[in-house]
Amino acid sequence: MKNIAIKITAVLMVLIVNACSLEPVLDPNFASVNAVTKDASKSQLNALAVGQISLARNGLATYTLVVGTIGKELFNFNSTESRWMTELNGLRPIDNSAFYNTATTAFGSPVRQANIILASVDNTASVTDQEKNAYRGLANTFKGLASLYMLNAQYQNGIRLDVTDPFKPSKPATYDESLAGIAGFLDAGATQLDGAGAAFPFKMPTGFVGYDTPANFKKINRAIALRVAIYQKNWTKAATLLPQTFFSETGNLKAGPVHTFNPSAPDFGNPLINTGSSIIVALEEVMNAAEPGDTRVTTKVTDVTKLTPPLSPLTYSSGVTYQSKYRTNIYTAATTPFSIIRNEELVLIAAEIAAQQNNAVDAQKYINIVRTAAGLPNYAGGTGQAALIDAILKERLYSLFYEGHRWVDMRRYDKLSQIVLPTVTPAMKVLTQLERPVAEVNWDKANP
Amino acid sequence: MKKTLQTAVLLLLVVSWAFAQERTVSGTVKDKASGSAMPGVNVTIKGTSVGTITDTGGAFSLSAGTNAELVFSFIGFASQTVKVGNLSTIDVQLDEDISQLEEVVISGLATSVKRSNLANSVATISAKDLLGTTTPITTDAALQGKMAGANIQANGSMPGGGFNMQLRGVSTLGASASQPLFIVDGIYIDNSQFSNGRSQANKATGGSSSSTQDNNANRLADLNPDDIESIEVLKGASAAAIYGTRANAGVVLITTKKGKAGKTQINFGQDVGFSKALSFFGGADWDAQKLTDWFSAGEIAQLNAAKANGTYTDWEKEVYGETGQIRNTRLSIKGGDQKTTFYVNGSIADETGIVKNTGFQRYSIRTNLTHKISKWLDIGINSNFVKSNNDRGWAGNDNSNTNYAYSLPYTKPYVNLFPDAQGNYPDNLTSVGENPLAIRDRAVNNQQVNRLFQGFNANAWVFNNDKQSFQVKFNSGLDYQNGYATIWLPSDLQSQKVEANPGFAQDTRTEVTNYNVQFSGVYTLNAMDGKLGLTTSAGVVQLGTSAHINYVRGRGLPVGVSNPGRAAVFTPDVENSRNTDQGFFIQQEANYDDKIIASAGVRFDRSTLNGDVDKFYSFPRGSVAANIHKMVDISGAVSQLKVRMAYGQTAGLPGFGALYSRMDVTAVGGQPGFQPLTTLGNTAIKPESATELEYGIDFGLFNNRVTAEVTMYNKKVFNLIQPLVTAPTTGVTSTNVNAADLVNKGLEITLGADIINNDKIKWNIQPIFWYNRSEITRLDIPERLTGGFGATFGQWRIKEGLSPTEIVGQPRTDPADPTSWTVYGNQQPKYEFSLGQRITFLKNFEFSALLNYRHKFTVVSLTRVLWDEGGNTSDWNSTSYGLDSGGDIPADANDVVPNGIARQNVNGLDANGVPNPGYNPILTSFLKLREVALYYVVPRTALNNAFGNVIQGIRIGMSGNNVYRWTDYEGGYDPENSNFGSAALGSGVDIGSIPAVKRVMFHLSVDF
Repeated sequence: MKNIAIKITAVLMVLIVNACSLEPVLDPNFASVNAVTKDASKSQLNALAVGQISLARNGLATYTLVVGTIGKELFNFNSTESRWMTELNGLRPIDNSAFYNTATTAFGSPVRQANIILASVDNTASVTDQEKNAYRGLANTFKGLASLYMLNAQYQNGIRLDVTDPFKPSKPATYDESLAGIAGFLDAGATQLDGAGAAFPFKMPTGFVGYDTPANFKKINRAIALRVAIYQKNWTKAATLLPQTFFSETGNLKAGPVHTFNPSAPDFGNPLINTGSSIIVALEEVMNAAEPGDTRVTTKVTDVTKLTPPLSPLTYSSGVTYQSKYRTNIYTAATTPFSIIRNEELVLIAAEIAAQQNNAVDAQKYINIVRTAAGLPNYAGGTGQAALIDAILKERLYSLFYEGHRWVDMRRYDKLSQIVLPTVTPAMKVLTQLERPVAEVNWDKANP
Repeated sequence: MKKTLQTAVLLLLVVSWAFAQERTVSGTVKDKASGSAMPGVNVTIKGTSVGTITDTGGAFSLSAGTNAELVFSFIGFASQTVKVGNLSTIDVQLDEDISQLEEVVISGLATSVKRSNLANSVATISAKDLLGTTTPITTDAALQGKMAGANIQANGSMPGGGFNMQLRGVSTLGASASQPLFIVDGIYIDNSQFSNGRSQANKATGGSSSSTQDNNANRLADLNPDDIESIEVLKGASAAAIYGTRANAGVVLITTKKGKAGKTQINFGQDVGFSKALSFFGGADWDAQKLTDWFSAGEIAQLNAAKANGTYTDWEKEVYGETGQIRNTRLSIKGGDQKTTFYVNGSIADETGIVKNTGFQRYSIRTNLTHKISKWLDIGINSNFVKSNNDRGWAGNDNSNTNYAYSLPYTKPYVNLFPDAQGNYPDNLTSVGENPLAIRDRAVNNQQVNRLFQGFNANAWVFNNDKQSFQVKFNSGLDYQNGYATIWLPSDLQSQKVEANPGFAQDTRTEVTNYNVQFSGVYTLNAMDGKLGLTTSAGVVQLGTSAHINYVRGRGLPVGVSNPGRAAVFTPDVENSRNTDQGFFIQQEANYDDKIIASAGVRFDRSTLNGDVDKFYSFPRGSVAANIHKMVDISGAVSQLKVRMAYGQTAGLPGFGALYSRMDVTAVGGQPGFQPLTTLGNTAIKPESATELEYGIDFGLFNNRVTAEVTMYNKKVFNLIQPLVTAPTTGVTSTNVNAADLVNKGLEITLGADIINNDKIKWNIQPIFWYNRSEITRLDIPERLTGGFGATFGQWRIKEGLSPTEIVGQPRTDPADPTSWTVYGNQQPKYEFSLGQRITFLKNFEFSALLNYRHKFTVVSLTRVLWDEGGNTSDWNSTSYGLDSGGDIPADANDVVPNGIARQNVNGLDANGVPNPGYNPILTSFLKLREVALYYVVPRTALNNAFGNVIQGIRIGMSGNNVYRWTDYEGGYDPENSNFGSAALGSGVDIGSIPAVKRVMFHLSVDF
């Protein structure tokens, strides 16, 4: 009897163990990556394409502030984070694990998104060949743009050009190889857009009005390629590319595609607007050096001492003390857009190409387009190549202020030492490039 | 599963059995010291579970065979064994057990063992140890310093808890549970922290809904410590193996109080007390020269005006200088008869903080019932409903000037922050950005939890005689909690007015259900004339969790509106998670005449959190203990000697979501889109597993007036889940892989001594000493830094051959090598020591105290950085360092700058290898008087004279909690502060903290 009871219990337990099975728990919160990389539907590809455009904004805020700070255009008066002022200005050692390394790393996401789109398109029969080219052209264009931002931050450290398999990325290429690789992405994208038919298979977001067909979108692709070409100092290629962009001598200097923002999730608000803890100021040294009456100054910054009622100049005193009366006034609302590339930059690139090709007349013509728009008299300086290049760099400082160019411009002309430093003690420095992020270094150390 | 179990129980009930014919034995049990009758004493036949308990008069009666031996046991008393023979009356006097060797310790999922036969070092904390001295507000606080091998850290000083408990070092590097598994009366309870969005409100973190930087309490805070009868802590895998995949960080078994047969006892208790800040950090004076040299000369006029008109104010003392109020009230009723016992306890804990508008209230009602349906079937029910309400204020990390703990370090004493007559708060300086008084008085950070713990167990004796017994047990538990959290930053706050969408509110609802069921059988056999006791147990277990977290977050609120649904921009979100674990176990225990006690067992577990949901992982264990003093005649001072060794395996499960590669949703320009998250899932993920070999020696001297327990262990953790950190420019930042092993080795010594034990004075001391060393023995991923806020301030380094809790930072020792960091010591202390003592004197007085010392551990401190940048650190103006603004010793004495400036630029270690002050991690030690109390028990005769028989006892007293602290820590208020809560690595980061708190209470306890 006793043994029977024990046996019954034992049998019951075995039955219970056998009767219970575990069902795998499917992710209750998100869609899955695997679902879109094989046999993707058209609507999935469209969602990826819009994701690509959305992701193009990834890291741009940090990047713009880091580049602006190092280039001594602007400072981030951030009351809860003094490293913006100290480490990025060379007052303390630069840190390859600090938050500002997203100025490099955040651009990995748009590159991966492009690689996912390229792979998904190759792995589906749900769309036509023309549509496939449209997705590919879009992906390669944004892959090129993101890679270029990454390279601007890393400069001579170079970037990885092939990250299709995140566990087998290529080693960083040299700076020149990286630029050539980026040009390759963009050129491939341009060819694909040529074969993409008359319309995109998805609805372009509102920031791309006027560029929402493959043919017009290609003008953006070519404009970015033009930027790459002048970084390569390939003036011949630049001159060829210029007419393929949306460059216009007579057009609105603001014309061009923009990133839009909307604070309602899953979109997000413009991350560059001034907040209580993060106020972006222009360096007094920069703004005071502008020519009188330059409307680019008055439209881009607010002199807080001239407000009614006047405020005292903005002061920063964590780690270093600096004061500026110029509060930036470019990104004022959560919905203020951010220009990807504008006609004003193309006009100044046209001037630069002309100067580089010793065409002083055209160079001055283009400079004056910008100066006239800024309410300034025509250029009256020297007409030698060096003088013109200096003049163009100066116009670029004010025309493209707070758009992430000054540091890169001065660096490509080897003029970082000419950047005006604010008078603070101890003295600030202009870094040449950011360090390779710690995870990048560690990966190569472990995977030589 | 449930249906099957019901059928099983029913089937068993129809199985019949027989009892052997036996004679009746009766008698009474008395307390040797007082001579009074002892009700509730367990009387059992040795080697079986057959038995009874004594009634109110201490009398018992049961039938037993002539060969049987009766065991008389009662908590706190040494048990006695008496041979029945031909006796029909057995009277027994029990003596108080000072060595605790007789207490029963749970040894398996269905079995228990006497402490003197235990093969593991299991820390047991009785109700008296837990709350006998003072009344810490949460159970984890009440455990601080009371057991070897546990590092328990208070994350902050806001009322309502928030603790990090690490048993025997590091058991995960972050991917699995860092906190022990808590089981209350068989109910697996949830000790998670739930987010409320505060770190989004103050931008300490962006994006996700869950963040350790919300600084919320871990939900053990809901358990009323006053309900606890005893706590057993299974510190390592050797003791906890039978708990399988959830036991890697240890298991804490909590038993709540039960009623006893006899007169109904009513106890009323009341604590009244207060809390104050232990120390302040700021207070540096300001003058015109300081403003001119280092800050803004434009504010000199304001400074002069404030000094002239007497409005120059120390804002730190204004905010942290309040006195917190403590009021705990409890009323318990317990009693019962031979069939049924009950325990009912209602309590209110109410405590306010040292900052206005912070506080914690917990309303708890518990009913524990046991009932013997028949001789062979008994059931037990534990029900506990709790409502917690916690206002946690605004401290910790911040990126928007919101937290007062962040704005106060920068707030100048010459600004005016007091509200005007209409209640309008003036703005702080723009560079500070917010008025801390406005946040204190107007911002809301509230978290409420309604929670039900429900346990049910049934034990059926299928047969039971003095030779063998077979028992079937069913046990189930439910932990259901419903949380409701509110965050509100009114739109007219200074820091909100400058936002694009001023005003922030978040409403978070959290519903979490945990359940567990267990069905087991226990067979005992007495062989070799009762000399060999064999116990076989086996069972099946299933547990599950499901959590639903919904929130609505709003930005851009109308003035005075706190409902996020009214916001201009609002974000709703829903996050779900669920998992199920199944396991079965079998265990064999053998006891040869209390001389050699051995056991072996194995558990098999599977879980939906693993990559392969069908795979059972096995967790074997084995242990042996030998009571040398029972085998060999040891003469002299040694009264007890036991050697023991135990081995076991456990595991830790991957976190929810580790399997999935996720596509997030996004939108731009009005179009919706997909974008992948930067972390990849791993469908091959396995649990982290641990093995532990523990060995030790226990001995007693002079009739066990001195006892010692010495334990060493070697706990290895394998397949630790690590983020394989990829090069982030690939767009993938990491994926979780099983990639590391580590080892923890340590020593634990627990001593106890009755220094004096006579009628006039009893003086007992309990010194405890322990340390743990960890080392990573395998790492298949690149070395990496984790935790903290970047290498400038210090981070945790994961690197083979080194301790994972080692803290490193700038500067690099070799500028050319980007990973050559300076080492600043270890977050784990070199050793920890505590000394408890209890002195009873003049018959009715009792003094007790607990000192806790932690030696040489490293804290990542940013708190002083904030105060230095703000110019307010108390020694800011001093030039005692003699350094210049670059942090170097200047050639010209005129270049010497104030310490507050110099500190901002001194990096690295000094010539002696000690971290320089300033931004570097800080090596520190502390000594805290955790608990101290003096109690007086009103003599019985006085009570009888005054109240007749109505009042049985009155105890009054006064106690303190953390009333004294010595530390060499200068980097902030207290070296225990932690911004990152219970993170496995990276929890010891002191930023935006508030002063540590001392609590003083007066106690009254009345028995009716």
